[in-house]
Amino acid sequence: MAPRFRHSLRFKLLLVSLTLLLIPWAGYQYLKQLEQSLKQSQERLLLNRAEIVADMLANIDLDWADLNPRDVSGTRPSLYVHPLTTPPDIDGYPEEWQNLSTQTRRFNARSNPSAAVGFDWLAGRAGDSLYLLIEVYDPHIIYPRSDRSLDQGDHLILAVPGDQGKTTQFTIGTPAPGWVSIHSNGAAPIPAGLRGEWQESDRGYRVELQIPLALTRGRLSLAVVDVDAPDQQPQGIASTSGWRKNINLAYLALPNRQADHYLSNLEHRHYHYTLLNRQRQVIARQGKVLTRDQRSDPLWRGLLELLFADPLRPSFTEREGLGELDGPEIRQALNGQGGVYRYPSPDSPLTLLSSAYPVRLGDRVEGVVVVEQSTQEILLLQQDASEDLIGLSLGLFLVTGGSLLWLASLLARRITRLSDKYQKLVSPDGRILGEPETSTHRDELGRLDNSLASVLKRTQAYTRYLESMASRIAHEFRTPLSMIQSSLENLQLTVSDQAQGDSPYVTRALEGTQRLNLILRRLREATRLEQAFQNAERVEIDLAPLLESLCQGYQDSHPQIRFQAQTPEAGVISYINPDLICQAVDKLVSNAVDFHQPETPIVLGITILSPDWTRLSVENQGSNLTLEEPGQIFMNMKSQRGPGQQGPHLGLGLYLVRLIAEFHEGRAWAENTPGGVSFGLDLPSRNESPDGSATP
Amino acid sequence: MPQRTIALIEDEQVIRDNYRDYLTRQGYLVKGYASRTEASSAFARALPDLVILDIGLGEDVDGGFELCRELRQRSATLPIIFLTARDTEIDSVVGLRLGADDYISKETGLPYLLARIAALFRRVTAMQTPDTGQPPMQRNELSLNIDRLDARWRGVSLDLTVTEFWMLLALVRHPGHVRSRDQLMQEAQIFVDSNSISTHIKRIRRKFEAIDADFDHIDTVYGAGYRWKS
Repeated sequence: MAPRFRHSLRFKLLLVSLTLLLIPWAGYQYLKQLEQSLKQSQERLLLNRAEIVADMLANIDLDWADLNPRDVSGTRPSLYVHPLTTPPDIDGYPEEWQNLSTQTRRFNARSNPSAAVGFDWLAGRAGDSLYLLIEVYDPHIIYPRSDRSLDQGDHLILAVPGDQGKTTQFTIGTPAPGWVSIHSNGAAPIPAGLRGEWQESDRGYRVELQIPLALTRGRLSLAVVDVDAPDQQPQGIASTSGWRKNINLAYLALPNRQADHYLSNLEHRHYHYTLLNRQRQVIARQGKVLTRDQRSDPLWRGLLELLFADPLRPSFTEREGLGELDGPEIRQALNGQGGVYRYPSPDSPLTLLSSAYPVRLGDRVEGVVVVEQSTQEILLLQQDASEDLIGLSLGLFLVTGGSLLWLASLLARRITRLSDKYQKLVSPDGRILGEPETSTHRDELGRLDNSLASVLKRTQAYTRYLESMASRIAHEFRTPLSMIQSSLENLQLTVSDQAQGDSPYVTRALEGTQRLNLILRRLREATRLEQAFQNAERVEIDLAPLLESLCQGYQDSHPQIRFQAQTPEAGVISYINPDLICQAVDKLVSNAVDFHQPETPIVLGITILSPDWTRLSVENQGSNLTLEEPGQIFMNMKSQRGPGQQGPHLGLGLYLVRLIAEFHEGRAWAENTPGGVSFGLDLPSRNESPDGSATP
Repeated sequence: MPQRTIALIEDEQVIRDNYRDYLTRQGYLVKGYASRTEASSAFARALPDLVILDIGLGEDVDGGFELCRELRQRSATLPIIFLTARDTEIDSVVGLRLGADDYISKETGLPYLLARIAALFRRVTAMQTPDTGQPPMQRNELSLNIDRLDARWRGVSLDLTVTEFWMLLALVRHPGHVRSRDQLMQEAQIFVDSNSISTHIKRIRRKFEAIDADFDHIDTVYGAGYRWKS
């Protein structure tokens, strides 16, 4: 019987082979280290690049004074102007601004916080024009009655630097959605190119403006005046800064073309360069970061992400806004130190590596160069290595695990075969049935096999010695017994010669010797039987008529006992030696006759067990057997007869039955039945089905 | 009639003496020998009328067989009985093939041995006086001359031993009736285990079949015994 898989050798070796999983683990650790060092070197390289770019920018003739608005108070706002690739249509709709929608800046009325007025500011530059998209939040739009009285309704005030410290202000409004009307506050004419469109929106209104850049001279202010009733004071005013004095105007942070041009000459396929002024406003920007992982399939990516997940950090999209860049590395650079920071991307497994380096003019930090690069290259490298590693480990695991499993199966099969071989060689009642073949294997299992075989042979020799003991004893007894018998016969003759008739003592002594002879004959019978097997001829015979004939014979010999034969209708063809089978049945019947309860029949039966097996049984009513060890009763010299039984009984009868059964490749059995016992032989046979055809 | 001489070759002193005493009391002249050489030298001078032989003679394991062969060479008619403690099939086959007239076990009592001796001497006498006895018993193509212990099938002698002859006689006497093994044992004056009765019957059958391959007059009745089928 094979052991359960959990207890099998195979399972144990499979467990051992699990240690192979340490290989990918070690590889993984190694990859981690590799990744770490790659990251470090990438950081270093990126910082170097930022430094180089910064140094070069410091050496070209940039108007840093212009780039960094003179900021006296340090609190004055500056307004960032995004570079636009194409000038937007002035139509009052925000389609062209869509990609900048996240960059809007909110201004609310400062004087009256409860006032609902506020606006979103977005500025762009294309060519020589400044474009503004102003999204005003005003639930009550009041239009002036005419173009001439724009300040009677909701309107905007655009302030640009004017003469004598005062600003030039333009009032922008309209009596109805459409092109705006523009009034100057002084005598200044309305410059050409200053125009705009007004459209209502869900939350208020929207004004799209085009302003000639020259008009602003780098500074402006925009105010939104909310009027809720035509004749009253404005409800609230929201503005980017003060708009009456030049000094209050906010600075425009414009992308610098020179710097932009310089940056565009750098390698920009994998790097994103940004030049910031001291307010961290973007002055120039070129290149892009590869953020799309193009090659690996989601399964791999998922697996690798799982393996190489970085600790979460703030997403890098949040660092950009209002035309500014922010981040620890940038602040560090503004303080004069180069720095590197890593940002995870929210929509890809990549991280963004950003290095910042200050642009110095003398001791003064005038700007910061930020160089960004994605970790794509490292990730790709890592991915390749991981794929190789995982593939290799898996292959290695399969090969080694497979080999171990194969070896285990081989060993297990050999052990099972070995076990089966010896199980078959020893009968259930412990006798050795044949000579074991010696193994040709030279390993430990082969040696085990051979040593088991030799143990078995020695046991077999000893068993044979024990089994032949009886017949040898019988043989040795014969001569002395013959001496006694012949002496007694002489004595009997002498006594009768002396004419006193037969002496009862001599007669009794002779009876004793006859009894002894009988015992010896019975003892020898087993030996003789083994000899008989050697030249016993076997024939194919139907067991049913044989048993019926036997039953008739027993009935004739024992007229006082009732015999019954129970045989099947169909033929039971068995390849047997009829004499031996009859001898076996004789023994069983003789037992049954001795033990049967008077007045009860002895039943001789044939039962078809299967197409290949037939059971011969002799059943009688009487006392049960004490079957402590089934099969023991068929052992040599084993008798269950109680005291007081007539005749010598050596327990040889059932032993002979067993020998005969085994000679026919069958087996002898004994069992208790309700109120009696049943003995019999199971014999191989070819049983016919009731319709007469032989079953295959 | 002169006193019959019987040679008894037996290595066991006690048994030899007992047998000699018993047979002497029955009127035979018995000479005992313990070894083959002893017996051979005695036989060189004169042959006895009957020889009783043990197979194993001391160290000489097959001495009896050797002696039997020698004697048969010298006389084809000298009655020889093997009396032995050995009872293997092979021993008896060898013994009988060497021309012994019977092969009996030592446990067979002296009275039974005596019966065989008498029968053998009766045959010797019958042989010497041709066609005087009663006519042979006829069954089918079998004729049995009881005095001569001679059984013939279709006129050819079956060459049966004394035991076999008596067994066949017991069967033939009541054709069609089943003779149990015990009955056969009794009539053949032997005491063996019942299994050796079937061996004897088998041997008898074989002797018939040597003459007539289709012989099937001896019928086995399983569980009961044997019978002569006419």
